[in-house]
Amino acid sequence: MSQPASYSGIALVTPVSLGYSKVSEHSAGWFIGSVLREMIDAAGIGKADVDGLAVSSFSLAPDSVSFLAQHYDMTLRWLEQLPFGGASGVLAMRRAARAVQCGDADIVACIGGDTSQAGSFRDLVANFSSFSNSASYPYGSGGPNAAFAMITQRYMDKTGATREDFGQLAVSQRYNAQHYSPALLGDKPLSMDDYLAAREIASPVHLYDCVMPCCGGEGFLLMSTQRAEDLGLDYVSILAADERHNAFPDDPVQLRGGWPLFSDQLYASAGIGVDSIDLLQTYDDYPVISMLQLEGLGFCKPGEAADFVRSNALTFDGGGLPHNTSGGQLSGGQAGAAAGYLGLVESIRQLTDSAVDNQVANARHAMVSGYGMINYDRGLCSAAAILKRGGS
Amino acid sequence: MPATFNTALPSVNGLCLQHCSKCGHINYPVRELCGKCLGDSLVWQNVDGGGTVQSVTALHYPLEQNFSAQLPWRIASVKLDVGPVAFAHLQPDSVCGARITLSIAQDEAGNNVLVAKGDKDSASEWLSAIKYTEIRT
Ligand SMILES: [Zn+2]
Repeated sequence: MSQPASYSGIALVTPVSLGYSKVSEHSAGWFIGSVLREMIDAAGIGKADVDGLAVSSFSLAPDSVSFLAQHYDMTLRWLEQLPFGGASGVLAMRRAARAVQCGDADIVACIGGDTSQAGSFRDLVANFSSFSNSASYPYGSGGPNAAFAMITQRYMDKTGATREDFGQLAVSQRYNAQHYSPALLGDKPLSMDDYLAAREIASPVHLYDCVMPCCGGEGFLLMSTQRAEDLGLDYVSILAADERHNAFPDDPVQLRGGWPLFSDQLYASAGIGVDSIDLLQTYDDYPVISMLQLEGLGFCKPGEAADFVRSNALTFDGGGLPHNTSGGQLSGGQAGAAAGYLGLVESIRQLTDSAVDNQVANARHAMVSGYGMINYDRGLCSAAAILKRGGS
Repeated sequence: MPATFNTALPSVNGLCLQHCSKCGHINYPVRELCGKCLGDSLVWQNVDGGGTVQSVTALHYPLEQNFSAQLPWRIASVKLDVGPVAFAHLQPDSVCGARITLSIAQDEAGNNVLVAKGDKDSASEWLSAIKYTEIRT
């Protein structure tokens, strides 16, 4: 199998997260355009300097990214719309990087943005895909809670992981969120006792295993390192990135994503080992999925993530493996497709020292993982990237 | 307003799934092309409903109101001996690892749905409890 070419010469800059709240009167286009405005301001460029736009949104319809060009009065030469849910951010980055490397664009804005109203989550879930509409939703209309509850139950049966183990992730992320002001649940402390006492939603999934649907926007600009240096911007480099879709289709229950199919090569391409990863951002739609990412990306062996989270501090300042340093979705809220950019944007903040109260000390390398699109019984998209602080 | 859904399953006794007359693959969820050979010669065929419960969940907060009368509601992920994995309403006394038989039944609203029955004969009472939202017309 061929391997991805180097991502050298590419810079990720101007991380922006905004607009987080439970519901909003604004459209998705407001969130996406507001992120764009903030990024342009932060970069010190004009709107006309942006010639590529990559967008992910569940609530943008009937508009599409091409319509946004007119909304925002921009003439663009590269467009991409990525309906890949929680894998969207890494996938947007990979495609935009190739566009800039090949001269198809000079500066690409990569943005996830979604609005949220009462009932909009249910409307999204009820018609998420033809398979889920015919083969999942009719069985109790549990939505993603049902599919992930069954993955969680199978994982617990197979590995012996307990609710306390999942609680390690939820509780440490809440601590991180208490140091990241935009996190929607950052003002509510969460103890292990609180976690264990929560009401059951879909056994064995309880309240604090579930994300809170919300609205918000996340984004970054992608350009050449030369351009970033000319603009005087702190930047982050891509050491390696890859993706797989519908991996291990014969597994009756999803106990691994696509990561084991490429993680060895990912480290080899990056030229570093897992021990050199200073912080990890997983896609935490449910804690069990973060466990699958810890295993699939080589932080521990398959089936041993429970032991890993028991024996490693996961807080941003705990000296272990800082994980979901802004609180992730579990404590920050799941802003639709923006949630697929959250970990990447947070990593760019961390590696440019622009985190505020949750800065990880001396972080050089970050692993960002994405996971998305529950067509029926499992998430189909897996992606990951190893990032490095820019400059020498 | 209740959501529209369509299991696309036929009304039969036992279990009937889409069989590919080109390559023999048995397909589920319902589709138009064979997932294995991409051929378009799928025909409904009675198949053995034997399978093993892979996982179970009890739902306390369905997204549709109509389900709220009999909570928590248990559903299972079932690996059929003939190949596919299917979600199904689960008979109350069945657990993970149990051998079950999958069949098609009608819920209260007349939808054809998959039900997973264990050995014990508590099925009739349970089947009458399967409610679902009306199909919006
Ligand atoms: Zn076939």
